[in-house]
Amino acid sequence: MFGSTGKIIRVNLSTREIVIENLSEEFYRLYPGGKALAGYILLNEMPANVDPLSPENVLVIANGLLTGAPVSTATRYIVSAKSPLTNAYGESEAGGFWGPELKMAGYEAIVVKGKSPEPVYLWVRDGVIELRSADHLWGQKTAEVQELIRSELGDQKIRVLQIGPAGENLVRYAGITNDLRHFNGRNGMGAVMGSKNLRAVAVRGNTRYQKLARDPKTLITMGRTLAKRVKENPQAWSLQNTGTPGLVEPLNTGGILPTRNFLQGAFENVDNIKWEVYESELLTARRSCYACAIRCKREIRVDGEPSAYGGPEYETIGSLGSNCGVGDIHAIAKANELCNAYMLDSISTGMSISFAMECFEHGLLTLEDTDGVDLHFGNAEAMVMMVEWIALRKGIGDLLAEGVKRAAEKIGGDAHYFALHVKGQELPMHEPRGKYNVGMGYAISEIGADHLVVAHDGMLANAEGIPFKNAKPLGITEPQSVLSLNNEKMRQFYILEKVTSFEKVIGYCFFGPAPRSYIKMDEVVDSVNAATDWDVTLDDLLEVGERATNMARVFNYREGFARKDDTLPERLFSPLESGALKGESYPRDEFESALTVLYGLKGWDQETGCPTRERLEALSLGWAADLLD
Amino acid sequence: MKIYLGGHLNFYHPQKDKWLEFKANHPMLLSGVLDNAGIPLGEVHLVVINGEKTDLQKTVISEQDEIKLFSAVGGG
Repeated sequence: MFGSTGKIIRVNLSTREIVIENLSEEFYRLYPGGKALAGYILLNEMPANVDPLSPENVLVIANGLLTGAPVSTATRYIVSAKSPLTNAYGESEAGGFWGPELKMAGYEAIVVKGKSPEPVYLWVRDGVIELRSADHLWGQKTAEVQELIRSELGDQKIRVLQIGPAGENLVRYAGITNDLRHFNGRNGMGAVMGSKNLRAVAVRGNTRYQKLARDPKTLITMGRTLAKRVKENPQAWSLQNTGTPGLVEPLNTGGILPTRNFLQGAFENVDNIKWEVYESELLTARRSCYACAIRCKREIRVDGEPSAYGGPEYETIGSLGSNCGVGDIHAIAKANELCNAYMLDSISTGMSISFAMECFEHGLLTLEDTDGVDLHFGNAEAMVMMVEWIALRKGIGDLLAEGVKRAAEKIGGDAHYFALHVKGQELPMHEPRGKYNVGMGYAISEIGADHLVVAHDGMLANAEGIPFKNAKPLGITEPQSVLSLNNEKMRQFYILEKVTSFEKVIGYCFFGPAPRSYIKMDEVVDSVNAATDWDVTLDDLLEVGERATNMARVFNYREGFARKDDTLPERLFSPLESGALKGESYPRDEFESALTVLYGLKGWDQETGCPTRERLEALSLGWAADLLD
Repeated sequence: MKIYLGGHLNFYHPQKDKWLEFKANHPMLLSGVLDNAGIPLGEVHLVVINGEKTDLQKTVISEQDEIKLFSAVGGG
C-alpha cells in the first residue's frame, strides 16, 4: 500500500498486551486515517453507554493519510474516545511534530484499551514498543515531564504527547499536548488518558513519508510551491505575520468578539489585548508545525522570561481575556501558560471561569463559595488563580472542573442560563449572532460546540473574494450573507462540512485547503493521488468526509442523542448588549427551519437525527445501520 | 489621511503597513481610493467609518474621517 504504513498499535493497559495490526488497503481506502479510522474503531469496539472515565472507554490516536507528507499544513492527527464532557463521540485534533514522528516510526494509529494499575507511559521507536513506569512523572507539570522522558531515554529529539495534572485529576476538559505547544484541547481527551493512568506517549522514528508515497517527487514539488506561496498569498502571509491573535481586533470591530460570557460583542479594553500589544509585550519568535511554511505558532515571554510553552492563540485570548472581561495581556499569557503546564483546554477553562463570574455577579456564587475570591468580571488576578484551582480541583475549582453544564445543575436557580454550551461542551470564541453558519456548526456538531465545522461565513460572502473563488470547484457559486440561513446556505453548509471532515481524515489543517486561499481543491486531490495509487476525485474525498461525520452521528444516536440536542444556548437567541451588532439575536425560527433543510440534505431522520439506513448504505456504512437494528 | 488595513488587507500595501496614507483635498469615494491603492475590493469584508459599519461602494470619505477596513477572518 502506498501513502500509509498500514500498521496500528493496539495496547491493552489492563493486561499490558501490545499487538501490531496490519490494515488492508481495501479497508484503509474507506477509512484512511484520522476521524474516519477513529470513528470505525469506536463504533465497532466499544459498547454503548460506557462510563467515559472507565476502562471500557477506547482511546484512539490516529494520523491522517497525509500526516507527515512534505506539504504545508499536512500535520494533523486526531485523538478520539467517548467524551467525559459530553458523553458523546469525542475528538480533538492537533498539529505539531508528534503525528509525523509516529508515521516515521512506522505507525498510523494507537488504540488504547483498559486501565493500567499504576501510572505508565508508552515508548514507541522504530520496531520497539514498550510500556514504562510513570510513577516519577505523575503530578508533575508538562515541561518537567517532557524533559524527564527525553533525559531518561537519552534523546532530546523524542516527541512527547502527554496529559498534565489536570488530566490526572480527571478535569472533564483536560487536554493533551505535544511538544508543549500543540494541543488536542477539546472534549476532555486528556481526562480519558488520565483515567487509564496513561501519562504520555513518546515517539521517535526515522522513515520519512517520501518513502511511503507513490510519487514523492510530486509531493516535494508541491511542498516547495506552497513554501513560496506563503509570501504571495494574503491569508497565509497574514497567519505568518500575526497568527490567530490577529483576529482580536477585526472581530471586536465587527461586534463579534465574545465579551463577558457572550453578553456583549465588543470589549472596551480591546486595545490592551490586540495583536500589536501581544507583539510588543510578549512575542519572542515564530514557529511552525512539521514541514509547514506558514509558521503561525508563537513563542513568548511570561513575567519577562522565555516561556517553555507556546504563546496564546486567539481562542485563548478571547476565552480568558475579553470573555472574562480581562484586558491584561500579561494575565492572559500567565493563564495560558498555566493551562499548558497543567494541560487544560483553554476554551472550556475560560468559559467555565466566565460562567462562574456571571454567577458571582448575580449572587448565585458568593465569597463563601469562592473562599473569599472576588469573581467579578474583569478581575485578572482571580482569573489566573481559577486556572490553577480548576486543574488541581481546589475549592470552587472542583465544581468548575466538571464543565459549565454540570456546574450549573449543581448551583441551580438561573445558573443554567449562564452555562453556554452545546451537548455539554463550552462555546468557542466565535459569535454566532454575527456568523449564522458558525452557529449551525455549534448546534449540529457531534462533539458539542465546535468552531471548526465549516468555513466561517465571511469567507463566502463576497463573490469577488479569493476564498469564494476557490470554493467554486465545490459547487459554491452564489455568495451568501453572513446573517442568513436560507436553503442555498444550508446546501453550502452541507458541502463545506464534508470538506472539513475529510481534512480531519487525511490530516490537513483547517488553515490550508480551500475555501481558504492557500491550497486549492485540485491540489488537495493531487496530493492524495501522489501519495497513493487510488486515483481519487474531489467527490471521492467529499464522500470520505461524509462517511466520517455519519459514523460519529451513529455513535451519538446510540448514546441517546437526538435532534433536541442540536440546539444553541438560550443566550444566543437573545440580543447582543453591545458592539456593532448590538440588538442582534440568532433567529430561532429560521434556525429550526434550516435544521430541517440540513437534515434532509444529510439524509438524517427529522426526529431522531440519526442517519437513515439508505444514506448509511450509500456511504458503504450498512454495517453501522446493522448496529442499530 | 489614513486608512487602517485590518486582517490580511495590509498584504496589499507596498510596505505591508497597516496604515494607508494619502492626500485628500476633497471628499472621495472610498472604493475609488482603494482601487487606486491596489486593495482588492473583494477582499474588504468590513468597513467602519467613525465607529459605524457602512457600505464600501456607497461611502464617501473626507479628511477628518476615521476609517478602518478589515478582511474576512475565521477559525483560530
